[in-house]
Amino acid sequence: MTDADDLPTAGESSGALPGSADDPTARLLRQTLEQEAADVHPDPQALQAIHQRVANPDGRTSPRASAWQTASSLESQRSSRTPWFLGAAGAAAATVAVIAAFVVIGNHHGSPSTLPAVGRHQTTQPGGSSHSATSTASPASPAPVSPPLNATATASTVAPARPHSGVYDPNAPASDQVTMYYVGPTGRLYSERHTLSVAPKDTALAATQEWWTSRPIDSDLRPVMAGNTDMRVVGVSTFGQTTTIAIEGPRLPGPRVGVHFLYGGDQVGSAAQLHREDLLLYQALLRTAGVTGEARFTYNGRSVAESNGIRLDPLRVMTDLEVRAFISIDNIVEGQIVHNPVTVSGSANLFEGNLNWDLSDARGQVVKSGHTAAGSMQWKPFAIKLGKLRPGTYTIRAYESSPKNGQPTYVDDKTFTVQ
Amino acid sequence: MGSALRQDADAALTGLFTAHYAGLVRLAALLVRSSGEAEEIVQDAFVAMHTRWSRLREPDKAAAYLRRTVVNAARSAHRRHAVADKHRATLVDVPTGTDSAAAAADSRAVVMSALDGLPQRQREVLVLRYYADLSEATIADALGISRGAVKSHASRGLAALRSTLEDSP
Repeated sequence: MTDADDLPTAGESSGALPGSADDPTARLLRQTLEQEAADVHPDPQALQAIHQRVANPDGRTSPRASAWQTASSLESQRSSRTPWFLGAAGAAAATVAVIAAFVVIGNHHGSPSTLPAVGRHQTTQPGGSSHSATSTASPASPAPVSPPLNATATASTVAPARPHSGVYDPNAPASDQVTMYYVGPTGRLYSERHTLSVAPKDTALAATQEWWTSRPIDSDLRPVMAGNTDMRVVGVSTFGQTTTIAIEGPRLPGPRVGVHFLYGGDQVGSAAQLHREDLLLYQALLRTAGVTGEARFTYNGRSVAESNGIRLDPLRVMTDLEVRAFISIDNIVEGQIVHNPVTVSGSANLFEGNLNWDLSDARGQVVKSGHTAAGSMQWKPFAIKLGKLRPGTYTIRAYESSPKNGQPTYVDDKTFTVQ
Repeated sequence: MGSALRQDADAALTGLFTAHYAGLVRLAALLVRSSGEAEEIVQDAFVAMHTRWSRLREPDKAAAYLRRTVVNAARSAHRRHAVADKHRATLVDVPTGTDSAAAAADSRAVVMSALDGLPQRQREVLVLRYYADLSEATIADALGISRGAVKSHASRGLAALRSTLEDSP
């Protein structure tokens, strides 16, 4: 929310304008306008239409080409992004900037009240984690993946407030696995599997709680965690196309006092860049929570109208074209131990569907390279069959060669160890 | 538009769309009384905002620009269709019956009809105040008038609305 968007609640001070609290006509008018507005259903695909218009003012581009252009223009933001993600590697003791986050609590009629912005300031995350993995690797099976610190999965039904590092155990049953979404180095969303120590009764809630409190295993991914260690996600419920994410935390000292909502990596950049990054945080949360339509948020039982200048009442899930990583390696988590023969798989949506890859050893020497088919104009699975590899540590890099200059773009890489 | 500026504008467009698009469409729909036309007006505003990003640069300025553009375009559209709108107001299908739902629909139609009958500025101020919840200063900025004029239009508009509703059966 901005100064220009200063929206006083009904009956609150807004210059000398008549309020509606004590005027029956004003109250009736407000109620009527809200009802009329509720009957208006804006086109959810309008963003694509607008992007097509700005990309092609003359309207001569085919819809198919325009869609690609839209994707490219969105993706091209990556090249100018400030390298917050480079600084996100410190998983153990990361100094992170508190997003200028504040929530706006709406009244029961959906009229939001504006809370004053909280300035950006620094805080240091507690280092390390006391968790430990619950399952161990057998010689014949892949080992669980954990960050350098001893880490474990969380299994409580109510997420602990203390941030911890994620764990992935490929040997754990599918019921223990949840999928997190994080913002990656291309400024898009990547998935990462995490393993819980106990199969959750409510997968959506458990995944959201894990996301809220965990750090990604892959240090390329941007860590996101609760802005306030006393906050926790207590409910994820879906009715129709709307999912409500309930968050509880300390009582606000006053009705117009903001609370920190999310932490992100150390951010610098233009206001527009920060706005998109903030938006991506929420989009990562929505995907992790399994939201398919739109989400609403509550804080201590009251609806949250806005945070970081982003409307949350509701917040719709953005399309794959807007936010999904164009290349994503899905079957290997960073640092995983694998066994021969090795196959790397994932999904990609690339120009002409041509995915390039190379494999480097621990010294950085490329030992294999090639290309394979992936999706074009849509995400399709790909598989890179690496065959038998000598024991050791390798890095697989999947990318598209830029049609402009041949440089690798949309890069996703994973380091793994062959035993 | 340079490459970096274009990327910045694209990013702003996406962020501002998520934050403001739905609200602006509903605001425009209340002003022009047509959902389809409201969509066109707001999409035009977003395209214009993208074009002028070099002079806006900040989301808050862009949001204010979007609101001004939408209100101005809605006013032009409303003027173009004044006759049709007036005719439409007389054709509102008011349900009959004694149940509470019919009574509520009746009340809603009467209020909207009364609002439609107000002078343009008064109607805009009331919608911006009582739907969008904008402050006096922000309404003044959106309409390009003084805060005193906003206060005057709001007061007169509300009084006229009250009078019309009191006279209605």
